Amino acid sequence: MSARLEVENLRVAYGASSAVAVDRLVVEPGTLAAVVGANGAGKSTLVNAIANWSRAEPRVEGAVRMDGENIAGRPAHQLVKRGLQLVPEGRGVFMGLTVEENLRDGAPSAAGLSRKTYSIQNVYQLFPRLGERRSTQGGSLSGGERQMLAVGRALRMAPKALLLDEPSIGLAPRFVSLLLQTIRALVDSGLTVLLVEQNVRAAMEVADVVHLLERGRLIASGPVDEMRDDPRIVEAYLGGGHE
Amino acid sequence: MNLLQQVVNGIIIGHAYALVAVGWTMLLGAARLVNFGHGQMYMVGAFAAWWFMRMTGLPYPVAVVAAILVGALIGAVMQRLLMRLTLSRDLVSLMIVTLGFGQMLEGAAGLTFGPRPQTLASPFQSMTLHFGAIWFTVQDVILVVAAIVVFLALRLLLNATKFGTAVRMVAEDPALTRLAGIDIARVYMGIFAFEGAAVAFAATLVAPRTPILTSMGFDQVVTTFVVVVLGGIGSVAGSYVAGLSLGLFTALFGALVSPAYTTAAVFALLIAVMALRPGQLAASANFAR
Repeated sequence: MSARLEVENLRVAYGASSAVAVDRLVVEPGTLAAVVGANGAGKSTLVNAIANWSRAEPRVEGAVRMDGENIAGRPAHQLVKRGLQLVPEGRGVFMGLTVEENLRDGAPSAAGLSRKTYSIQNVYQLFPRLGERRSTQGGSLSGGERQMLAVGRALRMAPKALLLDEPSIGLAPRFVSLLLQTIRALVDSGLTVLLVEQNVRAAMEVADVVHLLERGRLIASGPVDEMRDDPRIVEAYLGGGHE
Repeated sequence: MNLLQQVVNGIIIGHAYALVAVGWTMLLGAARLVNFGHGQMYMVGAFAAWWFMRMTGLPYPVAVVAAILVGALIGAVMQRLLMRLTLSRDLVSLMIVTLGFGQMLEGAAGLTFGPRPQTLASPFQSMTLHFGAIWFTVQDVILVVAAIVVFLALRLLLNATKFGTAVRMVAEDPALTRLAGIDIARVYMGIFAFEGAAVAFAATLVAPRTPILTSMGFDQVVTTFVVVVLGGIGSVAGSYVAGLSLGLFTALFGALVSPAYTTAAVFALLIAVMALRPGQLAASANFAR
């Protein structure tokens, strides 16, 4: 059985400067893998390259396999149709569309898809706050609501693998934990997630596997219980207060 | 000079301005793109209808449909040619390239249709309606109704259809739109085809009012640009109001002040608006209103 996502020899460069060089990264089906690291380590560049999506124009080389099939180089919108869904950092919703419009359009019809689909009602069950604000424009939502909506939009595309780029950024702590717990619940019901987080402590509470990225390279990987005691993580990110 | 007649004329001309501008409004509002070949596409639309009637002998309404198809095709071809500039929203290059595209259309039209003025003969142009001292043609009525219908249909398209939502998404954030599984190149293609079809449709309705010349495109670019800028860059409702206002302004200015200075006055108005309300050449996320 092949991994849900398998990245090999991925090299990403902006102009002449190399941003990411990852030899191997594997995400097994139904698990939550977290890539943690400091600001500027290349976390966003890494997930964007996997989804072949960027607001800039990086040069990407290497292999990305989903369920054994090499999908590197395919246009981002085609990858979405195949079930590889990115929630980008920052702006992930349409400000000029209402919550409901954000969730309604672009989504594939449930018929004819073997993948697990999520109805708008499912999204409202996961995030009741979105249901209350269904007629509100994206631009009028709070940061936390926007992030929920961005995840909800992604679910509506019936992803096989969900790439989440810094969902906690700019959110109040209670929103961070609510959002990550919801994502954990989705993983427990079968979804595969690759989560990129600067908030290492929050990420380690929900992840199965943790990868540490520094200066564009993975310097440590392992199950969350091992990584919790890894000195590089403890010293740099968790500090002395760790249990 | 009957003032009421001038108001009626202004309303008719205003709807003509608005209808000619509607394609560019969509282009600018949704794609944040400019097309300075717009006027020449208007000219080609008028000549396509004229040529079609002459060659086939089929009636005017059929020629209107044929011209719309030609317009949509030209728009789609233009999008294919400009794909890279479109996707990177390189406005300055697009301005120059579309200006060149327009000149090519004008040259090709000159070679194909000849230098002489022609008449796009609509049977409705000779049907006049009189109400006391006021009169207008059936063609004018069709023009006004068509402009209103097109604007309402565009609003409906943008707000109530899947394609319309895709257009609004592209308008706001093309990169994010890709992540909704949408091929944005195809959305741009639809926008350009609409622009071409809309301006050709406008041409077939407006051109029967006056003789047509292959050199008439540039004036249309200028008026359209004024309408779109006055309307608040790419706002659908704004363009309609701006077209109507500009029509009334030119009709009344021509009647009350001097017809010779109408164009100059329109430009003075444009400069005043741009100076008083400077803004980016980009619409808000709410252009669909």
